[in-house]
Amino acid sequence: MVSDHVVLWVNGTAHAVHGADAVQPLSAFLRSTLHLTGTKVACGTGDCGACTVLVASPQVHGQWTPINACIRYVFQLHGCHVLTIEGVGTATALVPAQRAVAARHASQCGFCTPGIVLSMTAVLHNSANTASTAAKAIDWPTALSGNLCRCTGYQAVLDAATEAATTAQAGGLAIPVPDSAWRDEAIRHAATPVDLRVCSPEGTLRVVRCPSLAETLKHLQTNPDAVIIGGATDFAVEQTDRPASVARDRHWLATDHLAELQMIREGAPHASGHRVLEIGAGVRWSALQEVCIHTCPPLAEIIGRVGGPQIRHAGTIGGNIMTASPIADLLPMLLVMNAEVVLTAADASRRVPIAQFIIGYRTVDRRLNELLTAVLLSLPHDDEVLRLTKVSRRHDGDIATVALAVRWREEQETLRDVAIAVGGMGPMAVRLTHTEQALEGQPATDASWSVAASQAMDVARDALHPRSDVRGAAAYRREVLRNLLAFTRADQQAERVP
Amino acid sequence: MTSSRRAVGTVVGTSQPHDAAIGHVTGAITFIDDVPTRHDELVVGLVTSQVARGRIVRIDIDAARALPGVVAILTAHDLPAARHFGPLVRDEPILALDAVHYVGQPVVIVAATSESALRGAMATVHLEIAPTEAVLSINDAIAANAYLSEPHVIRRGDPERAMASAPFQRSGVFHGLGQEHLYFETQAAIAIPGDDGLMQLHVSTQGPSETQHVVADVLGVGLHQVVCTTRRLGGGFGGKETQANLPAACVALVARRTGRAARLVYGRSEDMRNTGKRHPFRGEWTVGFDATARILALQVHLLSDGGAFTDLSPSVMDRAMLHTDNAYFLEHVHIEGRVCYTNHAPATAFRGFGGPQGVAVVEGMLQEIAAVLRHEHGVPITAIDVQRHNLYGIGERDTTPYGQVVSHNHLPDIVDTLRRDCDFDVRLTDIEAANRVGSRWLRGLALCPVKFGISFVATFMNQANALVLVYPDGTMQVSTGGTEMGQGLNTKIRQLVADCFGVSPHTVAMMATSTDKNHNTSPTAASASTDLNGAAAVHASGIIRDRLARWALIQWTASHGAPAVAADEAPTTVVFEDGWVIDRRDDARRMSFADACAGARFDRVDLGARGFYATPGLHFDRSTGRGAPFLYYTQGAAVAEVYIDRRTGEMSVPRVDLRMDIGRSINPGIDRGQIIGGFMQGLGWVTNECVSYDDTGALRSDSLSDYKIPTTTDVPRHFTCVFHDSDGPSETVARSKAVGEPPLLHAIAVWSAVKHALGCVSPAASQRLCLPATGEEILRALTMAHVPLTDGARWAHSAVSWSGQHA
Repeated sequence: MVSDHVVLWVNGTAHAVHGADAVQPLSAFLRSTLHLTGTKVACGTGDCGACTVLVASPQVHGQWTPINACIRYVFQLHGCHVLTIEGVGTATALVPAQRAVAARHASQCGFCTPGIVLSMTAVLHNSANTASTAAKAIDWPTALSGNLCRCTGYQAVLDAATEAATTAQAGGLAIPVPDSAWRDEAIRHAATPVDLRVCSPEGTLRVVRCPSLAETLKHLQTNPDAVIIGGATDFAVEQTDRPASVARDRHWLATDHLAELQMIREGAPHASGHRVLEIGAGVRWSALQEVCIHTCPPLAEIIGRVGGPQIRHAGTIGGNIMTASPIADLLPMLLVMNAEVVLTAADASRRVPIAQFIIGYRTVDRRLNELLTAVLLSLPHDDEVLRLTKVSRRHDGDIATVALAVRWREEQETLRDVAIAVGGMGPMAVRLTHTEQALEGQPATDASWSVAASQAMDVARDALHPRSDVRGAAAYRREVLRNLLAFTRADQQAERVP
Repeated sequence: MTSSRRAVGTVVGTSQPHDAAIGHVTGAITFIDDVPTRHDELVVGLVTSQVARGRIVRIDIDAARALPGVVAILTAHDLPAARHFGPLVRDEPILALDAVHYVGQPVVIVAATSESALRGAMATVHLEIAPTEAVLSINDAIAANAYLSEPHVIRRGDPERAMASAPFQRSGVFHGLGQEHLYFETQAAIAIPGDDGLMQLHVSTQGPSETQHVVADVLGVGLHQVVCTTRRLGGGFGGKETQANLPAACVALVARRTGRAARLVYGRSEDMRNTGKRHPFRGEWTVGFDATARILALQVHLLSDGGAFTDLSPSVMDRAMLHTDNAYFLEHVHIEGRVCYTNHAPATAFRGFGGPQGVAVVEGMLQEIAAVLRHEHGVPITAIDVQRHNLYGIGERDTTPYGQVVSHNHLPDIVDTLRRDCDFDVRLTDIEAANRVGSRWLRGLALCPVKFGISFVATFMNQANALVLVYPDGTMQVSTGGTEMGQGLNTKIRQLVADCFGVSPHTVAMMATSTDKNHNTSPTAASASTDLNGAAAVHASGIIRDRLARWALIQWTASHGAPAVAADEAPTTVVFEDGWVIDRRDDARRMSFADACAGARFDRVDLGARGFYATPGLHFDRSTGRGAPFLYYTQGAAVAEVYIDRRTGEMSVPRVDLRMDIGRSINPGIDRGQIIGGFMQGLGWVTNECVSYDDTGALRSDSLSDYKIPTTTDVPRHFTCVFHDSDGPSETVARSKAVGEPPLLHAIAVWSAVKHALGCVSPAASQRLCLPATGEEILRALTMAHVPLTDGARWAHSAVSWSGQHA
């Protein structure tokens, strides 16, 4: 049986959502359809966190995950439980984050406040449920970096968070936890295929959500025109503020719920002998970051600078690869580690090296019946250095101006296996093969890199064509790349900024 | 974080939570777009120009008009009365008539029954515009001789002669970009047609009276037929002082045309493209000084990018000129300012109102004076010595270029105390030594004192009124002309009123600002809203308290026959404390405040009053550039330390120390929030907030993906904020001082610290730095450190052009 609607729970109440309501961003549904106006929209592009709501999905038990409601579609939340500010505390029974924000002057105009309260509450709830009772130090600036505020300057917000953590530990958190009855019901709904159709003067929008990978692939086989939607953190942004499009039929295929795409596991070693991490295309940034903290610290660190926590809880690894953006955060790393992507069709599967998969500006070598299902990421050997750099205007929650990944090892004071990839330096992320060759076998000294950087930039004059755009001039990007390359080795040991 | 002196009172002086705090944290409060939709309501959108400058050839609305759900489409030809508006000069069209002047200028109003119908209709409206040559920068404007104002001068002494005889002379140019307000609630307005031709508006505006005026003009009705109500704003920062008027006028026009309620809420990109921002500035200076770094003569020529229409630009330029002295005595000085016309959205008020730009010009100059004396003349002097040496004196060297005496000057004390408390001199030595080693990190340290004049420079605007309504149960409602936009104005007024009556603030409700209660008001701006509206509320409360006291005395003394107190005598023996009305002479004479209110009402005593306040003693003659435009100065200083990555230009601010004199604080919690919030907003302006345009004049930085305001991790890890111990001015309410704008200027310390760091590399690196100091801007300065800067006037921010010449 195919359902023509999705079911989601909001603050404990189930809602069957049909047609146009189901293809709205969640924020619009909450505000316009349910009249829950505590969820504010300030940017519409997932940049500010004012629309933060908490989501519990039946797969992840006991966790409330903060996401941006402005760039998440209602149909993506089929079977999920959404907690909005209206579901957290009341004027006479505030939760710790609310009490602390009110008492500490951590709200001024109040527009960003519901989002801040929910982000704080999620952190407190999840840390209470995962950690021991011992006080756990929370890095509040990082935890709240996805919640912008124009009034307070944040100091009072951070003070309030610290205070809320203390009271939450002392008195417990009074936020609802979805019960097992919901979970059973939710799992039952999630197992139903959904096929929505919305007719408008602009044409018909069809949205399909299959419960399993096999059914998804089968659907793709017969509907090769379907647009595959992952976490939608990029896709939905493109729809914001967009004027009405020319009339045409559209077909969206939701994939980020597929359990088969959620695994992170050790795969068979690469031909080069590297350990391989097999990462499902539907894995969220936050999940990969957690794994990488131990298996690949440089990657964990760079993931920490992808969007804010809300984006990292929604965006998928597969989505980042498939956008093939020249500034996609993952690509330079995948390129230097010779990662492979796994493309699966109903009747076949193939592995493609990432360098061959990315073929142009936001263009990949995917056949229309194929779905990106996994990426096979080699991890650096113990004797290899992996250095990932992201240069952006703002340190956190920004898009890269220049991204650089460098891998090498030093054998008998000689540079070996040098691999260099850059993003933001042209229409697509690329390997700098000339520079790699120039460095290969050179003395393992800082000077080698300095010389190579100059040579690289000479070659780059013809080979790299960075844009001048809002993130920086082409000349700036070249200058940054030159410096980063020249000091690659020297800075590896240099002190960090305090 | 410590604070010292607070205002004296039971409630006044305490850190009461924001009066809407519970509503904030539960999401229960309503902003404009949270107001439930009326069943007949129309959704309104604006079709805007995609061309920076051009002639309108044709507007094709026929196809759009025929679409289902489209109820009204208006062009300039449909306007019933005034077609232009503007606070100083009515030169800004509501809708472009025959020409467009910036990308984002409204041309057509569309009203429909649903969002999707509106979007469809807006996409169907076709504008045919023949482009003409656009003016896209201050340099373009100079070349085209395009200005919005005449040159204006503030001058003292004989700067030409003093310059000629000064031992050292130096010239330089400051270039600063604009800043997006980024209030979180975008521009929003609802119009509801009422009975008898009345138009009721709900607008996110800082100036309900001004919005009322514009709407009345545009509708062609009397002011008595328009009511503008503002419950709260989701942030304003100056961006809703004049810029709120256009959306309000558009919904009013639709409501008048259709007889239906109408709502317009800008999307974020729309808001960023259509509305004006902080003024970009260019400041050319020539300074004469001696070997002790004393400034002997200064000539400053300021130009601002005012955008396409006048808006508040001349006033912003005035304040920039009035703050070019910042904290320094300038004996022989010539300051000249002029507003350029460009094809950008009309630049407008933004926290600081030109003050930040004026101060940045002179602070950058002081850094360069120090560098010149050290590097070129071997004088061992640091920028902080230059600052200290030129600071306004006490009892001498204390008159501003426009003739106002800097009284109650705490600047020397603040600077010296802060310098000592934050270990400035030791850290500076360490930093400069570390910079000589040449590691990856280049460091900088700088102080920025600020003296910010409080009052509207336009004297007539320094007035306010308040309405206090006391009910028989002893509770009260208070409304003023001041709008609550997060700054805590209502909380402070609530505290002031509660103390007037000796009651709990919980019995005082702060009501929406509405022009049918508080009329002829000034916008909530210039940091002075507590000074003005608070004083008016205290005045109104005093009137009612006197009436209650008189009535109470009569109750206590009625049996004696004689009047309790003469009609012209203040009933000073009656006090209001802790919910009681008490005769100080006889403790037995007491009644609860609620009983007093009920009894007085029964005896036909008026328990409502309007209070009024006009700031005394202000005058400024714009034509001569002389006068005393300010009631007092809010003063302070900040020290900032920066770390620059020499590879990428990326910069971080690990430490900031702030010390401000804000008089006696009415609410230390709120004032601390204003100081830190203002500072961080200023930090954005001087670091990463980069307003940039493409070659056609269209805004590139038109979303929060492309425009980066500070986030949590940009807060300095070490951040202190101390209230300087001072008595506060005797003239102000509760001896408090204005705090809204001044802290933003302190962030110039961060920019100065970058300049200091770059100056450690070479004078040229420091000279090239424009504002904001983005990573790109810093790296360019480092890359060109050993290329002398020859044509400072032609130099430009790296967001305009990497090579400095405007494209």
